[in-house]
Amino acid sequence: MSLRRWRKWVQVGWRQTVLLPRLYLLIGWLFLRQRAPHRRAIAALFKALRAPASGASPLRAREPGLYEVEPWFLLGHDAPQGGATEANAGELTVVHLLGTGENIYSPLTGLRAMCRVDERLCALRHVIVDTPHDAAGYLGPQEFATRLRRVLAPLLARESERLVIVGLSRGAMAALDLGAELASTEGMRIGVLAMAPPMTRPKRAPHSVLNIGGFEPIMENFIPYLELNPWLLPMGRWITRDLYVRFSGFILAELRMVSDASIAMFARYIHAIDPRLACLRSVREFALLGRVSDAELRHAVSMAMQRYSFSESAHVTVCWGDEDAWLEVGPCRERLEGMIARHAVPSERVEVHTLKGVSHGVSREPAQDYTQLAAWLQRACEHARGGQRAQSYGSKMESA
Amino acid sequence: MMATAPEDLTTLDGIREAFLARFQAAGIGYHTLGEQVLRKYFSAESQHARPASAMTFRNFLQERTTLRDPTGLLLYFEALGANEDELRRIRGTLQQDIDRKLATPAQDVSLRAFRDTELEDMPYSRALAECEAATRFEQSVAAPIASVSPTQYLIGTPTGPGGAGDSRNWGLLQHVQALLEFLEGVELKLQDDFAAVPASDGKKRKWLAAAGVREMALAYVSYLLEHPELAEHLLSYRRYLLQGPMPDRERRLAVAMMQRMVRCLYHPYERFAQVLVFEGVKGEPHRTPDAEIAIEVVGNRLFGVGLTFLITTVLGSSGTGAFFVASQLARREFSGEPLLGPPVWSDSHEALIRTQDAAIAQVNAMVEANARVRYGDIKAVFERQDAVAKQHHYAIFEQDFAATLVRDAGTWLATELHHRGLLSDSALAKFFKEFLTSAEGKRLQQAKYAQRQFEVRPRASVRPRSG
Repeated sequence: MSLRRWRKWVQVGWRQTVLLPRLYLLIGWLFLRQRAPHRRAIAALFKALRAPASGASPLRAREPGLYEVEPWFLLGHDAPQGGATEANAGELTVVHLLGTGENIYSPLTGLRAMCRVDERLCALRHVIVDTPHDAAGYLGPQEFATRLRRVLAPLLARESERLVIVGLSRGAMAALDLGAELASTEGMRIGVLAMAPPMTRPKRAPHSVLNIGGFEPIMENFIPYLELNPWLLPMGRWITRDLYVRFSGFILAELRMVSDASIAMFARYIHAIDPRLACLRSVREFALLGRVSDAELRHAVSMAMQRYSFSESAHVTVCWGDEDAWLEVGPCRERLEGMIARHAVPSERVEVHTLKGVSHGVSREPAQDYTQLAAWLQRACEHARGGQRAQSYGSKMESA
Repeated sequence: MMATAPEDLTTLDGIREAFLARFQAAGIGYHTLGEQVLRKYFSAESQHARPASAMTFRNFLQERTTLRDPTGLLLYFEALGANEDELRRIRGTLQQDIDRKLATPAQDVSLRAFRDTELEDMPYSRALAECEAATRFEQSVAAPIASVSPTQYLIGTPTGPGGAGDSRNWGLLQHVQALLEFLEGVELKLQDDFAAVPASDGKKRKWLAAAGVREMALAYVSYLLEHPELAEHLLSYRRYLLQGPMPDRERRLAVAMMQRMVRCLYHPYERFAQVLVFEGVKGEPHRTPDAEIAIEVVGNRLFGVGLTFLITTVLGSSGTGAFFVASQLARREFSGEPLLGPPVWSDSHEALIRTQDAAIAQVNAMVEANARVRYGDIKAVFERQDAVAKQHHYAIFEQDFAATLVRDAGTWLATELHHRGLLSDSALAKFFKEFLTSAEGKRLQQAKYAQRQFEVRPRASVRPRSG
C-alpha cells in the first residue's frame, strides 16, 4: 500500500469513527420512527425486490440522463414481442422533472393514469429527465439548476420551437425556472405544469427530509471507505441497498405512492442501479432540500415571475394538494400571488390551483382523481402548440 | 557677420516669408526665375513635377492664391536654394494645409445633420437615418455606433454583414447571453473542483474557494478584454439611445438576463463566505437574506475592480495614454527604491507605455511624411499596438488587481457581514487575525489555479465582405 493510500485509509477510517454517534442516532430514528404506513411501504418494497425484474422496461434511454417513455406503456399495452419498439413520433415533447427522492420510474404510474383519462396525451413524446448524480450539483439550488439545464441541453438543441415542462416539488421549481428562461430568452412556446413547488421554507421541515439528509456526511465518507477496502464491498452494497430501500419506503409512504404498480416501478429501479450511487444521491438530495433557505426560494419565485410577466409565449399552471404534509400550502400560494401582483403577470398567463384530498405527491398517488391534472396538462400542450414562437435572443443566435 | 533668424517652414506664412526674402536676395525677376525653373525641368535635372507658371509662384508668395496641387511650386523652392530636408518640410506643410482646406467643406456638409438644433427639429425617424451616416466609421470604435436606436442597442443588427453569428452584429441581449454561458461554464468547473473535496478537508476547500474568487474575476476581465463591445454596451451613457422608444419586452429581458449573470458571477463569493468567513458557524448563515445582501454588496465592489482595471489600464493606456501614466505615477516613480511590499512595476507596465509612445510617434511620422496617408495604414499601426498591449494588460491585471482580489474579498465580506450583524465582534477579530496575519491566511490570499480554467474565444478581427 502506497503512503498516500495508507494516509487516506487512516483519514477516512478516522472520520468514519468520528461519525459513528451520528450514525447510531440516525439509524435509531430510521427504525424507531417508522409508523404503520412506513413499515408497510418498506415491507412491500423488500417483497418486490425479492422477485427479479420482469418484462421490458417502459423507458428507453435517449441521451445521458434523458429517458423516453415507450408508447405501449402509455396506452396500457404490454411490451411488443421482440423488444423493438418505435419511438413516439408525436409532434410535441413533454419533459418530466423529478422531485426529491424520486427516480426515473416515479412519474410513470401517474402518467399512465393521466393518459387513461385523456388519450390525446398518449400521442405526445414524454421524456423523463434524471436528476444529476455529481456532487457539485448539490452544493446549492443554483448549482443544481445549472446542472439540470446541462442534462437537458441535447433535448433543447432539438426542440427549439415548443415544449411542455412538468415537474413535481423540486422539479416544479425547476420547471418554473426553465420555462421562464426558454420562453423569455429563446422565445419558445412553453406550457408549464408545476405541481407542489416549495415556494416557502416550512417553519418546521419534515423529519424524514432532515434525517435522510443527515446521513449525507456519513455516506460521503462511507463510499470512499468502501473503495479503500474492497473486501468490504459486498457488505457495503448490501448496507447501502438496505438503507436506500428504507429511505424510499419513508418517501413512498409520505407521498402516498404505495400502489403495487408504483412499488414495482421503484423495485425495477433498484434492480437496475448500483445501490451505492442511488443511496449517495438520495442523501445528497435531501441534504440540499434541508439546506435551501427561504431567501433562495423567494429569489427563485421572484425571478421566474419577473420573466413570465413579459413572456407571451408561456403559460403556467401551478397546483398544490391541500393535504400536503411537506409544505405549508397557504404561505406558498400567498408568496406566488404576491409575486404575480408585484411583477404584474397577466392573470391568464399563470393559473394557481389547490387540489382537494391530495398530499405532496401530486400526480403520484394511485387513488387520486386525475381528471383535473390531465386537463391542465392538455391545456399546457394546447398552449405550446397554438401559435408562433417569439423572438429569440438566446444561445441559438450564435450558432445560427 | 549677423546671425539670420531661423526660417519657419511649418506654416504657410513662414514659407512665404522665407522665400520672399530669398527671392529678393537673389536679385532676379519672376520671369528669369521661371525660365531657370523650366530649363531645369526640361533638362530632367530634378525629380519634381511639372512646374506651375512663374506668375502662380508670385501669387502664392503674395497670398493671392490657394493651390489645389502644391507640387508645381517645388522646383521654384529648389531654384531658390531649398535643400532636400527643407523641401520635405515644405511639402508636408503645403499638403496639410491643402488637406484641411479640402476637408472642411465636406465636414461641414456631413456634420450639418448632427448640429443639436437641427437634429432636435427633425422627426425621430429622420434623426435616426441621419445618425446612421456615422456607421462608416464603425470599425474604428469597439462597439458599432450603428446601434443608434434603443431597439438596435438591445437586439443588435442580425441582418448585418456576417449575419447573426457575428458578434459585431449583436446587441446587449446577445452579449449578455454569451457572457452568461461563458461564466456558467467557468462556474461549473469551479463547482466540480470544490465538490470533489470532502467537507472534512477544510484546508483544501478554503484554498479552492479563494482560488475560485480569483479565477472568476480573471475570467470576467478576460472576456471583457476580448469582447470590448460588451463593456461599451453595458456601460453606455445615452450613446446608443437616441432618446427614442425603448422596446419594453427586450428591456425587461435584459434586466432578467443580467440578474442571472450577476448571480453566476457571485457564486464563488458565496462559497468563500461559507467556508472561510463563516467557518465553524452552525447552520447555513450564508443563505440568509442578510448574507445574500452582504454578498451582493461585496460582489458589486469586486465587479467594480474589473471595471476599474478596464478604465485605468485598458482605456487609460490607449489614446493619449494619460490616465494610465497618471494612475501609476507613484508606482513608476518609486519602483527602483528598496520597497517593503511586493513589486509594483514590471516590464509589462513599462512596455505598455513604450509601445503606445512608439505607435504614436510612428503615426506622427507617417502623417508628416505624407499628409494624405491612407487612414487604413494608420489604423493598422494602432491595431498592431493593440495586439501587443493586450498581453501586457493580462500581466498587469494579474499583478496589480488579481493578486489582491482574495484579500479584498475576505476583508470586505467580513466587514459587511459584521456590519449586518451576522458576524460577532470576536468572530470578526478572529477572522482578521487568521486571514490577514497567519501563514495559512497569506497562503489563501495567494490562492491561484496553476492553469486557467477557461478559454475566451477572441472576436474575429476582419469582417467578411458581403458577396
